[in-house]
Amino acid sequence: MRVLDLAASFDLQRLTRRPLPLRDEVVDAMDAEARAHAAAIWTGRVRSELDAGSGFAILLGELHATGAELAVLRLASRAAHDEVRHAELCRVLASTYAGELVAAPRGQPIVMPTHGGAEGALRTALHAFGLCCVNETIAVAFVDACLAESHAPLVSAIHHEHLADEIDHARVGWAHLASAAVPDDVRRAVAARAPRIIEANRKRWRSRIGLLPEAGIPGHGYPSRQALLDVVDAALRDVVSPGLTHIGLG
Amino acid sequence: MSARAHRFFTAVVVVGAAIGSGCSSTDEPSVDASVAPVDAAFDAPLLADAGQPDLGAVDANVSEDAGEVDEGIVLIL
Repeated sequence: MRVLDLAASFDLQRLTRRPLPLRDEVVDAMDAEARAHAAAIWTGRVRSELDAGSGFAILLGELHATGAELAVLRLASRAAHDEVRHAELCRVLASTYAGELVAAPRGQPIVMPTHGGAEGALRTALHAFGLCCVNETIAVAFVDACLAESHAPLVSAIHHEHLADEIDHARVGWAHLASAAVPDDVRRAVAARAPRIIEANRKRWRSRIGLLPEAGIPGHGYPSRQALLDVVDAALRDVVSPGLTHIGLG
Repeated sequence: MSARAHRFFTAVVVVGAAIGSGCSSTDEPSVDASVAPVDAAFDAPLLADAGQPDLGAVDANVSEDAGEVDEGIVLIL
């Protein structure tokens, strides 16, 4: 299979200050079928990251409109930027596995959960909870598990980059809900709706993990399906649920 | 809770909540992506001992019909 010239195809220094290996011999050693499969998965991740960026852009607007703390706005602004950068990093990996440049997608409209027509501060808080406290907190554990399963240098480097950022993305929600900008009645409403939001996110993660190879892609950053399902539940049990208690919503 | 989970909890929840409640004055990104190994993310401002929080399990009895909550969830995978 062809080897893509990454340096000629991407402006890598704009994507990360972390040095990326320009050649991954672990990837080179894969058979064509496995590489094609990995390329398809990472091509899908490009779209997912871009959509996550759109989600953060929506949340950022809501945070501005409802008087969020500057520290929260700072984290959320960076997250919206990070996700677009992550999409491009995923395209680096997809292209590496494919041996040819994978086309960059364009942004597309996404909708955030309507939460029964909730508006204003409540809508913002529910979106911050779902996207950050639940979804991005799961993502931290997910990427950590993927990193532990990666022995390919380029894959590991990109997972490192993602993991460091996902931690800050999750913090957006915990920071906002703990802040004085969220009134007590909104906090109580978020607490009341939290179980449904958690379960909805859990179901979505389980559904998407079900599309991954059952045995994962050993060495290439994808643990087995069962391992990833366990990671999701552990994150909810060990981080999200006690997190609600920690900020007085449990 | 495993030591790893405790570190996740501290890095994500404790630090996040501290930032929101004004306990942290970190104006800079908490992780320097240029140099930080992944564990540095967990060593970034640890403001308080997370203690031993209650391990409340996710409510297994929530409605199967997540309805409008389920629409528009964006995942990174």
